[in-house]
Amino acid sequence: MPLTISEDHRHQLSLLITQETQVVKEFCRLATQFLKQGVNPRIFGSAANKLGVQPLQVEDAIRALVFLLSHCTQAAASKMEFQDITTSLGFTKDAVKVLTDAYTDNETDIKEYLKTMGVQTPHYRNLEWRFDILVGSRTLTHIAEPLVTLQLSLDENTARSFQAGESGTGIEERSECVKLLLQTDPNNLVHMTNVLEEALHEARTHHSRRIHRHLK
Amino acid sequence: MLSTPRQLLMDLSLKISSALRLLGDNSKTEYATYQEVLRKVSEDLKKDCKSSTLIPEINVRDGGVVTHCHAALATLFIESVRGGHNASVVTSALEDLNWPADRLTETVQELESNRQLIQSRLASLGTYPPHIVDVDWKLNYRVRSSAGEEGGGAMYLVTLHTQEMEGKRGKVTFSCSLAELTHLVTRLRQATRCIQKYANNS
Repeated sequence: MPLTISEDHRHQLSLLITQETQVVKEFCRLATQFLKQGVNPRIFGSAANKLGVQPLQVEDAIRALVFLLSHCTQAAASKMEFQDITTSLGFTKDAVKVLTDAYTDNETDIKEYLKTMGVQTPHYRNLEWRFDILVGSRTLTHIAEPLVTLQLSLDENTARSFQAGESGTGIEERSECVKLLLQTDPNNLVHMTNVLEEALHEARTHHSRRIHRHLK
Repeated sequence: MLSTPRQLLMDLSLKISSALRLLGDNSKTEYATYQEVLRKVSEDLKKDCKSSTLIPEINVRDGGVVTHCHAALATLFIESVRGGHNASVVTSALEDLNWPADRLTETVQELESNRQLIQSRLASLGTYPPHIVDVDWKLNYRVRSSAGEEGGGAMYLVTLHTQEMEGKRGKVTFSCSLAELTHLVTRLRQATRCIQKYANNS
């Protein structure tokens, strides 16, 4: 993946280029906090006051910094490459060091953040079952129908708004466990088990192993 | 399915009993009308939608009597399935209402031939969780993603097809790794074994 920073991002980062290293450090802290749990928008206001700029400019700078960190992680840029790119953006030597530290120290968090941005499908977590015999209902008495009740737990990555402080909202990325209640009858249960056993078998076939080896 | 004790008597209201008595009476209800009512009842119980008005021309002439008979016969069918009353219980109930042998045999035969269907339609009423009827799977190898992940390994995409209330179809899709699918299959096998154990004991 080529490492290119768009004009818009350059423009948004330009706010930081003229600042002291201490300010750049504080922005790095805010950017990593943003990755983990979002940022209280009030912080944009107070930072903007101190720097004598608009809160929106502060927010844009933090977002651009998040983009820079995540974009380089995505492209698996080395420490050297990251230094080159930040130097080319016009940061001072000290600022480049601060940024590079933020890049290398937060690698795991950035990767986690990127995962929540990717293609998402609910993911299997657990299955609980219960075997019941239905003996009657309002519409049908005197029956004895075996039933299996299943509780399927799935992990879903959801981006949702949360209230931060007295005013304003942030975006929180987190994994949520969803529990689904399902039921089935013995015939369908046997059918389902057989079909999924076939699925397990497929992974052990010569064909699957060959592709797996090839991609490793 | 386990065998269950049958109830020996049918409990029909006075209104239903008198309408059935009328339907079985040779001198009061023509054979053709009776046959039309029987045909309509068994047709209506098979259909999903609500039935249209019954045999309009006869109905108008008889001032709604035929509608009563139709409702009474439908009630008899539904109640006998709902309460698990077998053919002999229904026969004796109709004998008590002085039904002639030919109409009685014909009606009971019609009921018995529809019993399974009425039973499954009654079972589908009410509230229940989505019922799994089929399952699909796909096996993928994750190669690379926009998020920079590389070599995620074997991933299954499983779709459970379900049947919900009022005949609606639904599905649940999720992904899982080989180890997670093994866990899922182990759980399902446990449940299957448990049911087989009970089936063998009873």
